[in-house]
Amino acid sequence: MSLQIGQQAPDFCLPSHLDREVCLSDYRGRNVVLAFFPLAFTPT
Amino acid sequence: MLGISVDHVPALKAWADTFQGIQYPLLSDFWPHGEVCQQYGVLRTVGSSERAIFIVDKEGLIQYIDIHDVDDLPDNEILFSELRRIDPEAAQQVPPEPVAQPLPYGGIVMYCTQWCADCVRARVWLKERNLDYTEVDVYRVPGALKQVREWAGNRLVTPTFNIDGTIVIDFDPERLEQVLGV
Repeated sequence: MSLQIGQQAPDFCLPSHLDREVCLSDYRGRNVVLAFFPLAFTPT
Repeated sequence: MLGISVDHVPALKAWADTFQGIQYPLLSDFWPHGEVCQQYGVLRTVGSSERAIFIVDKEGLIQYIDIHDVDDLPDNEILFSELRRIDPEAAQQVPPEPVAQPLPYGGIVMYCTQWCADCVRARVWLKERNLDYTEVDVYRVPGALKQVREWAGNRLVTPTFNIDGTIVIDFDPERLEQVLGV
């Protein structure tokens, strides 16, 4: 399954490094950049 | 801005500590492992995610997708231009890039990150040989990241050395001995 431009972004809630849960839907009404990165402490 | 990886929360905290005041939350997609990455189609078979950027607009619709080579970093300028396109008003609030100061030059200048394993090895190597060097953290010194990427064909390799104008990419003891004559 791959997402296409113009589709609804799947909502999610995840724990964060700030000790609070963050949901994509918290940001409704704002533009959001989602930056997926492989692992912390990369690249070497 | 939200950063997402399959790391567990303590790893993200430790990583966030190495940056000076990271401005956005780092989210942990550790358990169920990679579930969100999978939903977005960016979970790799090795269990971690691609380097990928999605821009989601005010209505929750995807406006931009960029899935990057894992070894390459997305270009901020492309990102900013996409954001300007999607939201011209907010884009004017993007802070200007810090003005790069001249980077140190002369003797051994080592460009590194705080955590990279080869940087740690390089520090030990230099210390064992009583070699003085100047260290530049590529994430803290404006302009350093760009310079290091330019030297290595747009890849970020640390450590990278500038030894009186001779560039040595990566920790290569033999090459360093040759350049330094030690």
